Formats: sequence, C-alpha cells, structure tokens
Amino acid sequence: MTGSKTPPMAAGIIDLGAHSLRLEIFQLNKDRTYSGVENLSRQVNIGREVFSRGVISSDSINLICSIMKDFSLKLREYGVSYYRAVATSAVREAQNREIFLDRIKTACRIKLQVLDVTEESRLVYLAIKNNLIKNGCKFDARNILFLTLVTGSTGVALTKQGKLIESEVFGFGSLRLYEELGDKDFVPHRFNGVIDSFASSIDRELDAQSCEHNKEHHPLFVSAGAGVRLAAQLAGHELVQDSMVSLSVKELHKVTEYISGKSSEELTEQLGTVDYMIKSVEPSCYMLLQMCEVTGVNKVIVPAVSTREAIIEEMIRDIFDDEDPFTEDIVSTAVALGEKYNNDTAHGMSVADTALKIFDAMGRFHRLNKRNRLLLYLSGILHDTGRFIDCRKHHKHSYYIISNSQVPGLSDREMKLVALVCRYHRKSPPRSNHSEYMSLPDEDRVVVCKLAAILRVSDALDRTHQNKMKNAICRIRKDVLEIKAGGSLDLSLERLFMKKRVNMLKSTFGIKVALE
Amino acid sequence: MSMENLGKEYFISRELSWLEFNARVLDEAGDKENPLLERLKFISIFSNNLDEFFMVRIAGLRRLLEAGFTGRDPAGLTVKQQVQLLRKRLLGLIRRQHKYLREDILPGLEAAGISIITYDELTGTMKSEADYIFESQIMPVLTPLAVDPSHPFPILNSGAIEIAVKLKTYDSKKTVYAFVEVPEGLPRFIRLTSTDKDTFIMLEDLIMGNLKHLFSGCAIMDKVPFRITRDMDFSLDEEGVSDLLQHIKKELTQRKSRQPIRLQIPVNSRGKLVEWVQKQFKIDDDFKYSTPGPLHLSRYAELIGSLDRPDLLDEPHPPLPHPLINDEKPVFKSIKKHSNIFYCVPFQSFDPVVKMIEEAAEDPDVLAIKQTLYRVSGNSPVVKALQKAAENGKQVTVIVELKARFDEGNNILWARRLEESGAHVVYGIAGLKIHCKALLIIRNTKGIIERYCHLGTGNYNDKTAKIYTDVGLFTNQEELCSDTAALFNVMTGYSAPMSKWAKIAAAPFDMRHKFIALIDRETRLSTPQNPGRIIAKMNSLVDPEIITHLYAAALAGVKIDLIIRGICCLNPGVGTRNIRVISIVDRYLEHSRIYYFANGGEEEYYCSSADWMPRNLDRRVEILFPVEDNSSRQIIQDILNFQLNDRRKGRNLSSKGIYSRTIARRDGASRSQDLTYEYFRKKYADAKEETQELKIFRKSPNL
Repeated sequence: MTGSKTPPMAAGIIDLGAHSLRLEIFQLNKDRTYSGVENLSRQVNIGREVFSRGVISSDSINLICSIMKDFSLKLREYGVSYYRAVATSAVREAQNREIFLDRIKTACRIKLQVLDVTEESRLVYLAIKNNLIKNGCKFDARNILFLTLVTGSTGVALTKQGKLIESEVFGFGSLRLYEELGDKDFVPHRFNGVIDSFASSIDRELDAQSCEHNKEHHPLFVSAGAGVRLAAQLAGHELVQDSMVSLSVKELHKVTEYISGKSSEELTEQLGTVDYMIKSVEPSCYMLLQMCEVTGVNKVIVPAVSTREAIIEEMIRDIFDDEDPFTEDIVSTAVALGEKYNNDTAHGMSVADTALKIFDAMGRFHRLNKRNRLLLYLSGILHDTGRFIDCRKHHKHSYYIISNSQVPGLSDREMKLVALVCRYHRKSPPRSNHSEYMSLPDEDRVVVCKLAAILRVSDALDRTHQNKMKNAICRIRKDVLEIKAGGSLDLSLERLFMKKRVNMLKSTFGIKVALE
Repeated sequence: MSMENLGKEYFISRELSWLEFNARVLDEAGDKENPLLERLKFISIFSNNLDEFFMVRIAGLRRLLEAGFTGRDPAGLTVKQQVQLLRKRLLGLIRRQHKYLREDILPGLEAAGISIITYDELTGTMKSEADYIFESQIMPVLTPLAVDPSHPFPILNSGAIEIAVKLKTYDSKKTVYAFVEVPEGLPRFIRLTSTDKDTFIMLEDLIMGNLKHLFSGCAIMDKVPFRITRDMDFSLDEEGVSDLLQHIKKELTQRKSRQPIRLQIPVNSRGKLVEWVQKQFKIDDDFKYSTPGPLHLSRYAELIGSLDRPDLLDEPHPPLPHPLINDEKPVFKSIKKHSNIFYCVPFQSFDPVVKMIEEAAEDPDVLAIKQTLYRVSGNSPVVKALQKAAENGKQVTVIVELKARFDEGNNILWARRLEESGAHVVYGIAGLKIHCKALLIIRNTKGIIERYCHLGTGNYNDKTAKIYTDVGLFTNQEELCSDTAALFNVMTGYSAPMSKWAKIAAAPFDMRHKFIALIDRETRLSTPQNPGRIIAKMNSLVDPEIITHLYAAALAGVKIDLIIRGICCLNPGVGTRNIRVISIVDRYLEHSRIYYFANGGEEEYYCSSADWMPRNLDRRVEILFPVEDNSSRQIIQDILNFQLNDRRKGRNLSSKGIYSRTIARRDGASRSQDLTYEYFRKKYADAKEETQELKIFRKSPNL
C-alpha cells in the first residue's frame, strides 16, 4: 500500500490469482461509495505450474513482470497513488515465492503482498457479512454456515448468533483438481469421491464445534466464489453489485445437468467469461450440493462478493481509519479455540483484561500499536491452552497448539507471535537456544518480549482464578507501574506469584511494579 | 435464411460495383451545373481512384488469374469474366472522361481566360520564358536513364509519367533507348507569366520539347510519354515479424520492383518505340490502355490550387461553429455541461477536436490522452498537440496504424516524432488494422476522475475533415468512456477483449454478431401493420452474411433504406421491393457510417467506423457506438431524411445493378449536402440569437 489517503481519490487494486492477473482502478468518494473506472485482466497460468510442479516458471515470472509494468503505467494514467497489490493461492504455495516477489518489486516497483489464507477468508467473510446485513439478513439471530470456494482453497466458517465460532481453510479449491490432475485425467466420479470426503470432514468439524448445530435447526448456508456466482448466473439470476440471490438445490441440479451437455466454448460465450472460470462451475456445484446434503439445507445464498471487492472494502476501512470490524470475530474464534481445549475461559478473559490495562498504562514504555494490543489480548485468552495436554510444561504445549491452529483474521506471522507470547508466559524467558524465537526477525522478538513480560504479570495477578483484578486501575508513576486492585482484597498470594513473574517486566522496560 | 439459399442474382460483383461508383464520380465531372473547376476536380478524383483500383484490386485479380484460380464471386463471375467486364466498362469510362475534359472543361476554362498550351503552340517571349524555366528549374533535376547492355534495366517509379526516347548517336550511328522521368516533385502545370491570361504549359510537354538538351551527341528519332502502374497489393505477415515498422520500411523500398499492372500510352502513339516499351514491361494487350488525351489526370487537381478563381468553384461553405461549444471556454466544460455533443463535418467545424487535444496538452489536471491515428495530414495539428502533451509530462498513448494504404511513409515519420517527444506509440495489433477513431482524455481533478471521449466515423485529419462528411460525438457518458478505455486496453495489449461491452460493439470481436442481431430483431418484430425499418448509411456494403440477413429481413416485410456511396454488392429488388439503395456523390465525399433500427418503436441509432465489409467486421479493430440523447438522434434523423430525399445528387440502384442518372437533374432544391449545411447554419444562427436575447434579458435592469 502506498500514497496519500484523502477521498475523493482514485485507488487501485492488483490481484494475482491462480489464472489471472487483474487490475481494478476505482473512484472512491467522500461518502465511502466507490465505482469501478477500469478493469484489466490478463491470463497467467501459475495455478497449473504451482499446483503441479510447486514453482512459478521463469516464463511466467517474465510475463507477470511485463504485465505489472503495464499496470504500473495504468496506475499513473489515473494518478493513482494509493493501491494494494495482493497475490493469493498460487503464489502463496509457490516454493520460489520470495524470489518471485523480489523480481516483481525490482522490475516494477510494485510490492506484492501475499494474502494468508486466513486473511483472505477474513476479508471475504467481512464482505459477505456486510452484504447480508445490507440485504436485510438478521445476522445476529441466525447460525450461518459460510463456504468460500476460490480456485486454490476452500474456506468454511460458522457463526452462532452473530459470532464467529469456527473458521477453517482447506487447500482444496474449485479449480485445483483440474490443475493437479490435468484436464485429461479429470473424471467426475473421482472428483465426486474427493468432494464427498471433504464435505463430510466439514460436517464433522461443525458437529464437533457447535454443540447446538443439529439437523433440525439448519443454519443459513451462504457461499461465495467465482464458480458459485457463475452457477447462479446460469440458473437465471442476476448478480449486481451489493445484491444477493438464493439458489435452490433443484436449481443447482439443473445447472449441473445443463453444463454437462455444453462445451466450454458455448458456456464462455453465454456467460461472457473466460474458459478457466467456466471450469470452476462444475466442481463448485458438486461441492454445494454435497454440502447441502450433509447439512440438510435446501438452498444456498449467493452474495455478489468477490475477493477483490472484499479487499476494496478493507482498503476503504483503512483509508477512513476504521476500527477493524473483525476484532470481535477474532476474539470469539480465539475463545472458541480455547474452549475446544477445555480452557478456563473466565481465567483467560480475566488475564487478557488485566494485560490490556497494563498495556494501556505503559504506552510510553512499549510504543506498540493497536494490533499488538490485540495480540496480547488473544495471548491472555489462549495462554493456558497447553494444559489440555499436560499441566507440566503447558506453556510449551500452548505454543505448538496455537502455532498449529487458525484464527481467521490473524496472519501466520501473528499466530506465531501469539503462540510465542503464550510460550513465554511462564518459566524461562526467551533464550538464544530457543529456535522458534530466534527464527523471528529482530522487531518481532522485541514484540514477543514486551507482550510476554506483561502477560506474565497479568497471569500472576489471577493466579487464584478469582478475577480479583476486575476493577483494577493501572497507572505509571515515575518508574513504577502501580496496580490498584480496589476494595479490601487479600492480595498476598498475587503478590507472591507476581514476585516470581515480574523480572521479565523489570528487565524489559526498566520499571518496578507496586500492587495495592 | 442461410447463405446457401441466396442465389447469385441477389449479389452484384464487387469490382464492377466499385467501377460503377467511379462512374458516378465521373458523372459529376460531366454535370454541367457544377462549376468548371469542380468538374476538373472530379476528373482528377476519377483518375486517382482508378490508379488505386489498378494497384490493388486489378492487381489482386491478376494474381488470382496467374494462380489459376477458378472460383466465382457471390455474383457468379469468374476472375476472367470480371477482368473482361471491367476492361470493357473502363474503356468507355475513360473515353467519357477525356471527352468531358477535351470538349467541355478545357474549352470552358479557355473561355474563362485559362489556357493550357502545348510546346508547339509557344511563340516569341512565351517560348523564351518556357525554355528559360526548363533550363534553370527543370533540367537540373532530370535524370535520363540509358537502356543498354552495360546497364541493368532501370526500375521506373509507379505512377509517374515517363518519356521513352529512341536515339541515334551521331558518331557510331547506333540506336539507343532511354527513359526520362517527369519528376513528381515539380509542378505539373507551369505558369507562363509573359501573358496577361492564366496560361500554363504542362511539365511533360515542356520536357519533351527540350529533350535535345538532355541528349547532346544524339539525334532524337522518336519519343513517347507513357505511364506504368505497378502492383502494390502487399500483405504483411505480421505474425512472423517482430518489428512491424521495420518491415513496412522494407516494403516501401521494394515497391519499385513490383510487377507492372497497367501501361498507359497516348492513343495515337504507334511504331517501334511503343512496341519496344510494351515488350520491356511485359504487358499484354489486356492491360495496355490507350489514352485519348493527356496522361495522369489525377494531377489536374494541381491546376485548381494554382488558380485564384472562386467564380469557377462551388460557393464556399465555411465550417460552422457548434452551437453547444463555447469557443471562449475549454471544450471539456461544454462537454461537461451538455454531456453529449454531436457534430457533423465538414458542415460544422472540426476545430473543437483539435482544440480539445491542445487544451488537454496544457491542462494540469489532465493525466493521460489516448488516441487512434489512422491517416493524419502532413504537419497535423493533432500530432503537434499530442507531442506537446507528451512533452508536458502527460501520459500520451497513440495507436498508430502504419498500414493505412499509401500513407505508410508519412505515418512512420510522425510516429517517430511522437516517440521522440515521449509518447507511447503502439503499432497496432498483429494481423488487425486499427481503423476505429477514438480519443480518450483522463483528468483527475482534486481526486475525482473525469473522462472525456470522442468517437467518430472519420479520421483525425483536419484536412479531410473539410471535404469528407463525417459525424462524431463528444461525451463524458460513463459507460461509453469505460468501453472506450477498455478498447484502448485491448489495442495496447493491456487486457484481453471484454466479453461484454456496456454500450459499444467492437470488431473483430462482437460487431458482426451485434449487427446481425440488430437486423434479425427487426425481422422478428416486423408485422404487416407495423413493418420493421432499417436505414443504414455507409461507404460500402460487401459482406455476404449481412446481405443474406438484410434480404431475410426485407422478405419478412422490413423496409430497408441503404445509403451507400461506394460498392454495393446487394442487388436490390430481387423478390421484394422492400430494399432501396441510393448513392450520393456530391461536392463532399460521403464518409459517415450511420445505422438506424426502428426496434418496434424503441428506435436505436448507431454510428461506426466500420462499413458492412468482411475486412471491417473481421480484420480490423472497429467501433460501433449508440447515440442515445434525443437532440443528437434528431440531428441524425434529419440528415438521413435529407439524404433519402435527395433528388439532385441521390442516385437509385436498380435491380439490374444500374444507377439512375436522370434524377440528378430534377430537383436542385433537394440537394442533401446543401440542405444539411443550411440546417446547421440555421441551428447556429438560432442558438446565437437565443444567446443574444439572454444577454439583453440579463442586462435589462427593469426586469
């Protein structure tokens, strides 16, 4: 992202997918509305290369560099100084992705950002949520199952009364099978088999995570993705900006039947799209039908939302300096993750709350941003997750459980930071022989130290699991962090535990702590 | 209706139809109501057209003949039949052309005090003056080329007049042949000032009279002027050529050595020298044309330019200012105010187009200018403005079509100039000629993107905009600007073609399909009570598929009016009277392409850069755009009505493929080009009057 950010303004988004490289230039107005100005699309075939051979070929890199140069000129043509350039599944999985990104940066001065799977799901989820609310859906009152079918991966999420409780991303996309098997080897029954097992796995996930998820109270089933939108179009629905349509199981069957009798050339002409997108319709339909069968729902809601629009919405939030609307969902997913491992949620929340109070009081000492504040909060919630395995060394168990979990909205890097902060909430502080810590860049190591130091003290303050710090007030006086618990509480145990845990705070920030 | 059911009787041979167009041009030279110099202009255009026809079409036919091609055209003619019919018709036309010149025009000019005299007629001071001009200005640039075994046979330029000379050397008494080329760079008509009247001698005549000065030591035994026309139909294999520009340069240098396709020689020239010339160029009698008068009549237009005789020309129609464009403000502002501004050259001025580009070059808010350029004038103000814009740091993208026939040399020159000034010059798409006329200007005013586009039927050429009738639209309509931007992206290779445009259709992508859908929709909606209606105005109608669909529509009751200036391969009146074809050839060259479809009452008007020809629909990048605002549509409707009712210059095509000529004399008051000019003059006068009234109204303190 670059440039000044004061609407009205021209902005742009470059989006490198498995099969195409696209640029959209849009006009953003003061009232947050936007309208497309230009939309460029060029075909690239890195999906096939990466999914079958693991790397982006030299020819493709050259081609992408040359297209990027064109796009760069196009951005200048409209005076666009603020844009975002993102890459999704194919680049994400390419073994030579660092070299590739560097080539792009050197050749065209465009910094391409690789979207994490969870980040992509978060953006699409938020866009869908906005779309549903705009279309009058009572988001808070329903349980909603989201299925995002993009070319290289599939995201599934479940909300309960407006809160996200489960989100997973599977490395199984609407087009991926074609790419991995190749057109010639593709046979529908083989494909069906894979989808069946995939749909069942989702259903098992849902059952495991949602105790109230049962076949009598079907969730609202919402699905996004190019293949899904094209299926809706083939069923005769029109998807204009901000709209949504309902696609019945019957219609899905009809579409499947219709496309099986048509050549991809005929469909390309009918739908006005490119060949590789047509190929995603059939797998998308199969996937939706299987999901309908497994979950017992009889219709799919298809909102007019794509990854690109989702990113544009995110850019608008960034331009207008909005709070991250996903924070609540991140927290609720983290709580759900903790509960999955039988965490004491009340304790986790208490530690997290206290940690925030200390964090806020110590602003001038740590100079960390809002996002780090959120990471600290999540570390508070999740720090004891490792107890699920064993109390002994549970900080280490927390580390690998968290670092191997997904929380939508958190990047891989952020997940790792949370895992490490939890890792250091007790026992030894970071050392040079801790490889997982040492693999971090310097600035991230500092973040881990600062947050872990605060978390240690916060955890000590709720050692009794009695939430005594509920009304605590934290402030800095000279070089002393004063924590006033309020009321006439017996804090002898807390003092004792704090004494054991305060060293890291002292050594990291050079301050003392007083508990009253 | 499929192609198979449409018999050959529905079609007219393309080449014969073209020749009929040129015959209509010749009619204008014969029209005694046209002023004399205008008639001379049509004599020149007739010859110029014919030269191109030989270089391209006849050359093509001859290649087919040589290759033993036995196929027939949609009208059922073999190549040999076409060549024979063409020659027969041509000989008659050429006779007519020279008759008009010899019997009407030149005597008329003589009576008006303008004489062209021969060298033999020169006497006294005039002869001295002529000889002096020869010695001082002409002889230095002449290069006689001897033909003998020690020299390779000279490569003579296509199109120039050559003089073949048979010589005998004084010393060895040997017979020698030589050629003297009449330089194309010198004036064809040389004014003699030693007389009160406008008196001229023709360049070749003066050279022939002074040949002895060129061949001292030789006796001139015989001399004959002649003209060679060469095959110029070269097609590029773009796929295999990485540098198109380089390739064309090479083509230009190769041209001289291309095969001769026509030998023109004065009608009374006989003898061994003529036989020798014919033998040297290996031209058989079918391609030898005896000319009953001077050669190279296309250069007679130069005479008009060297005279100041408005009394012998059409009454001038100075291009009118546009009532919606305020001259005192930037053109953008007028477009912003009215959203759509439709205009029609040469009746209305082309200046706003140039002014808009010039303003864009200086406007600090303008970021980018994109334009297609097909044929531009020498020293074009459009090119200059684009250069200026690039120098001012605007992103200028120019899509240049180098292959605009016979203009390649000129195009390469200014394309280079644009590149040097920093513009991004794109030399078209491999295999496709860029023929659409589009201009897009992008502004960013305080963060708000504004786009203005200009779409038209004519080239961005200020010179031809004074003599060709074309229409154009300035607009800031979002969808049209967006489609135009997308089309530029396709032409520059930035993006794949759109699968669906918002408003336009573009060739070679969906235009053919769109036209057929529009025609078929008329067929579908037509009822006996409410018959469908199509009016299509274009330069040429050739495409067999479109003709088939038009016939299907006509047979279903759709009333079709076709206003086709040039080639029309549709033979009207076969099994239906629902198709009428008219052709207008008048002082301005009809060039606009306008398409109207009644659409059951929801009328649609389109303008386009494309004719209904396979080359436009399949091998060129073309644009078809709708005109949707009511006042512009009214203008189009009015112009079409003038044309459909033109009984002065409108000629009807009969079912036998023959154009009427008698109508042309009947009703001078219905002459559509005059009416169109008067129409715009009145519009401008009314608007001016309204503005005056408004000013008075505003100034009046008591109101």
